[in-house]
Amino acid sequence: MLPQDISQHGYLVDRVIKLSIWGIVVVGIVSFFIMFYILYKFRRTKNPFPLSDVPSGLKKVIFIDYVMIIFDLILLFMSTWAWFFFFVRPVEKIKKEVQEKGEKFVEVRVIGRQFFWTVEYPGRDGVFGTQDDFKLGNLLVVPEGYNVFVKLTSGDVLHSFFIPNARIKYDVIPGRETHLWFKPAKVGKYEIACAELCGAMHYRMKGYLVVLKEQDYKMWLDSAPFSEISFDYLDDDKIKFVKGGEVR
Amino acid sequence: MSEAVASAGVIHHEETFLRKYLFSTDHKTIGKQYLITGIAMAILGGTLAILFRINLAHPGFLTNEQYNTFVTYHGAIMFFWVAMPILLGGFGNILIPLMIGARDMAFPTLNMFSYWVFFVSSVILIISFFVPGGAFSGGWTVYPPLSADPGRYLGANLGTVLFLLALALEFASMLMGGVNFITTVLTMRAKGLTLMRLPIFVWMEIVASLLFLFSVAPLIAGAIMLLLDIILGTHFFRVEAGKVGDPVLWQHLFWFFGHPEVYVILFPALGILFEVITTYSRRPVFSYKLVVYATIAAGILSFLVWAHHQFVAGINPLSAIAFSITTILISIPFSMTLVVMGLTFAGGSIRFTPAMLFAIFAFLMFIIGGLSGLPLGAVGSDIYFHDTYFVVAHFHYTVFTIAVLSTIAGIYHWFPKMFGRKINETFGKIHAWLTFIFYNGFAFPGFFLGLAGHPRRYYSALEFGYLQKYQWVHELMTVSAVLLLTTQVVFLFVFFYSIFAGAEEKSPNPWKSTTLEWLAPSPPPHLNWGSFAPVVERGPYEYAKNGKDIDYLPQGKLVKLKQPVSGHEH
Amino acid sequence: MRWFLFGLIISGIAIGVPIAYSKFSKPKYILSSLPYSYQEIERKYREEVISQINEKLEGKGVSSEVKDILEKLKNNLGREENNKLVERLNSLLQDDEIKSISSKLVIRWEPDERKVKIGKEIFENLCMTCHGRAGDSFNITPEGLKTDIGYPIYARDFTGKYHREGKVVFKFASDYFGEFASDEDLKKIIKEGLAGTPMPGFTYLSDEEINSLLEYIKSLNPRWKFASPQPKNYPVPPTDLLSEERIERGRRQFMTVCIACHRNIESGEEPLEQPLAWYKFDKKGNIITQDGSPSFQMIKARWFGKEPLRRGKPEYIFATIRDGIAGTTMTPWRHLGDETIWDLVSYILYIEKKGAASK
Repeated sequence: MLPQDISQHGYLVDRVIKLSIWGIVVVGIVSFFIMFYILYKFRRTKNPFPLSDVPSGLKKVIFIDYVMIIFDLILLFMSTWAWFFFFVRPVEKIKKEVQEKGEKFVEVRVIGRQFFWTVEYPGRDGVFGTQDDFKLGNLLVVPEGYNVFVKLTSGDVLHSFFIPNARIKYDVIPGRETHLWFKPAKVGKYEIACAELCGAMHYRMKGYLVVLKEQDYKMWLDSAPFSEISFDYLDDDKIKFVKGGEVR
Repeated sequence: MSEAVASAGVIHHEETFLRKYLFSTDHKTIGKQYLITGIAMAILGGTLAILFRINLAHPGFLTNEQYNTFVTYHGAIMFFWVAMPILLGGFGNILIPLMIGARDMAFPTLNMFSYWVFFVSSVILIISFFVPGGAFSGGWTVYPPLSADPGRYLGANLGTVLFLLALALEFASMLMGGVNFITTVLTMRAKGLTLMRLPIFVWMEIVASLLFLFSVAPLIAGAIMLLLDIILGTHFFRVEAGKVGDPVLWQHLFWFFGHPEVYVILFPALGILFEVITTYSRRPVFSYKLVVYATIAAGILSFLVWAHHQFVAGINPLSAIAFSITTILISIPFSMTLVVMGLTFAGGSIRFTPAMLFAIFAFLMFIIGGLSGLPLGAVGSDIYFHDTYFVVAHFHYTVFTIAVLSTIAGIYHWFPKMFGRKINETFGKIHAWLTFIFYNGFAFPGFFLGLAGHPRRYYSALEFGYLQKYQWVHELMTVSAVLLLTTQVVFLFVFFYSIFAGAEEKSPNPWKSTTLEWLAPSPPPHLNWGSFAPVVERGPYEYAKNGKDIDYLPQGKLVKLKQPVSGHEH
Repeated sequence: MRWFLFGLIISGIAIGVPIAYSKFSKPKYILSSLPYSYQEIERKYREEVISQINEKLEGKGVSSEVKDILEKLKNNLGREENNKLVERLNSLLQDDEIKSISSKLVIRWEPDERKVKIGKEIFENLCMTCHGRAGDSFNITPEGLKTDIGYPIYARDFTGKYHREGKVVFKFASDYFGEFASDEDLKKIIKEGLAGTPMPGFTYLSDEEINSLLEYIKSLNPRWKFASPQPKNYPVPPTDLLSEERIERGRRQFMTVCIACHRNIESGEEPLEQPLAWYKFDKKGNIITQDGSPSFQMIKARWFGKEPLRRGKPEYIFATIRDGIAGTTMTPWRHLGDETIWDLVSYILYIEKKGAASK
């Protein structure tokens, strides 16, 4: 059910999701079985008069409470770990770590507007405010294996920057700057959704995340940031805007 | 109520139609008014839901603005105009005085006023559909800046103002009701009815009213700020160049109210379930004290969890961890309550009446609803699940259970008491099963959509490549939802038919239940007890006591009063 | 019984409300003031052209049929009828001068409803927040639009409502008078965006989508119906573009001509601020003058080296110098000759590079 995980650290979130889902499925099925047993055993036709006390075997069902408490603790631990990894560390700190380790990174700014994402690139030199900056609508192109630092701002209302494949989501708030960090690990073309009601066309606030190989990314930056991107490892060479592949 | 009433019987005065049916101060009439207005609003909310569900299956049925409007109004109506009036206003008004052996509420005129304020708020809500500029369409959580600058973003300035006005009036009405409930229970209990002998339903209503009283103040302040933003152009929540409003502030104010609000409607529903389950399984509540204390604990904790709605909304990430801990913590009192509820069935002699079927289904659905809250409360998985259909499925498993399953269980259970007539039992059983099946058919697939990463409030899933393959899920949900509403509409016809033409119920206590309301005649007359007064002798759930012939002991008995007294003195 | 009726009535209202709403809901977005409507702009345009014809006809005796046709043409006619009348007029008058004027009344293009519908969806999706719900840059985002250096600007108004002649003024894609832009030029802007402004490049849009979008944009102003804009001509840059001599010659030229507004960049002077003709909003998005008379919004000459050029390729700079920028005080400098213009382009690129290096 979960979309393919393309980021280096998405497994942290996946782990919490899987743990919690399987946990509640098991607890739910067990309690349903107990309930069906009780309802079947103590139905009126079989048991016309109530017992004066709950059978002592059934009283042990309270055990579920302890199971829940232990399960809660494990879940809390795992989830806090994932959260800590993604959001608690300040972006500057992550950036510093990345630089110390000698890993490569790119920075982009994303501005949410009704109903599209403007993505600002620093260009070849990697510095904002120079002549080679450029802006693209709804298209976030990043190189594979780089750390991507995203600065999020909003031009009008609340949006939420959601990349299902990278397991990241953060609200885009007018008047504030929020930060995201992820590390794409798989080339391809993915979708960016808006997860916070932002108006009538909320459902069409769709961006594309295109993860290119490093050399392709450089080539794209150098030659043609405004041209269509078509590499054979992307699913299809043309990104369709209108549904069903056919203009309505 | 004066001293005199407690010591004397009642003389009846002939009342005009207006006084008896419209501007009545009788708690039962007011309760029925709440109930029926709530049911009407439920039809409105349900119809809206069906319309936008059809649109999700076949995008293009509505325009996207209509879709957003309907989603907004569906959410708001189901919370504030259906669940609250039915569970607090309806059942609370009808049952609390009867259950505690009082003749009416502490402030009958305030009670009437609270209903009419509620009625006006409903009318304003409906009017807000038709004003120029259209209805508000920014989600029932009214998040700014969409709501703070609706003229710019939604085109619906007047609609938004009216929506907020209706909301404010509804809160005012429920506040009056809450004050009334608390006063009534604290001051007007029958002789011998100590607090720990109160039926759990009354406890739940009291805790719910207290929660509402404590939580609503920040929201009212926030709503005033929001109205100022819209009307006068202040910058509490609006962000404009050089002016520092903060939209996140509203989220804090709203959810500080919003989370206790969920429990405000959850607790009465749990109370109804306890009453119904004990009656039909013929067993006392497994641990009365545990339920009461767990409820109070959950009520207190509910004030400390609000920010779990905002984990990725720009709050301090460290505080998100704290709120995650409290959120997971709050699952413990609820799991205790549910275990107690499950053990109340155990050892009983279970009659599968319609009310019991609904209660059983509600109980099972609460288990799903509660458990599915865990992935949302855990901050790590909420990164992914925040604002997806997982949330939608989760709160439909809780709120639908509250507002529909538990409510209908209550209606089947107390129908003879309210109207002195019966609803056909076979029909009730079919109704219960169909509701259960269709409800799961429309709510459960939501979990899968959530896992697939489908964001909420999308007009159509077809725009996104990774969602297109789940369109059939939407179609399944829509079919189930249509069938679900059809079932409820048939039920409503039977309900209204039974009110005036159902088989008459002669016995005041058809279900052989213990609590005080079953001592009164069905339907209870004005001022309830006539020339008698109830006296309580024992706890509320004395079932499975006395071997085979009498398996229950009523909570109290009626004592004849010495002298009659006029009903107009209270 | 009474309860039954009570419930029935309220339920009836409850079912009726949403159905009535979905049937009869009114359009939502009503602007508080519309200086000119689509029809008014068209009538204005026709009257203007016809008054030009009348001027030419003055003194010459004309038949009553001509007068009749001219009177008829003042109305907003459909394509067929209109074009027939224009043909008839030309055959009656047999005057080349008048023919060249009356050709402005020929309807050459009409929006394709199907494409307009798709285009409108795309517009509301991507363009509405800056260009306004009605395409008139009205009621836009509250932060206001700003260039990267914080200078307030406005998105293009596609309706011409706030222009005294109902014109849409395109800065970058036409001749100095800026009435129209060819599809190719507009496509370039949509795909590449305008650097330094909030306009991003929507590279991923397909040609069909852009065509639909243009169809919608052109359906917003009636003057498009009478237009047949030619795509702009972008010459190939010379091979020695950034050579020392060119830059030196460019500097000399710049210091004599361009310095008037752009000022001496190298000594760090701030460029001149001058009024931009035609429309102005107050902070709330209301237009200050609504009678169509000119009001002024200030615009600053490009600050080379400080902020990015809107469109930085050499051939674009060349075209801008050659054709000027419509609606501003940047006049066409075509008379300087291609070589001199290339010199200026070299100098500007040199300054830009220097500015980038100094950051």
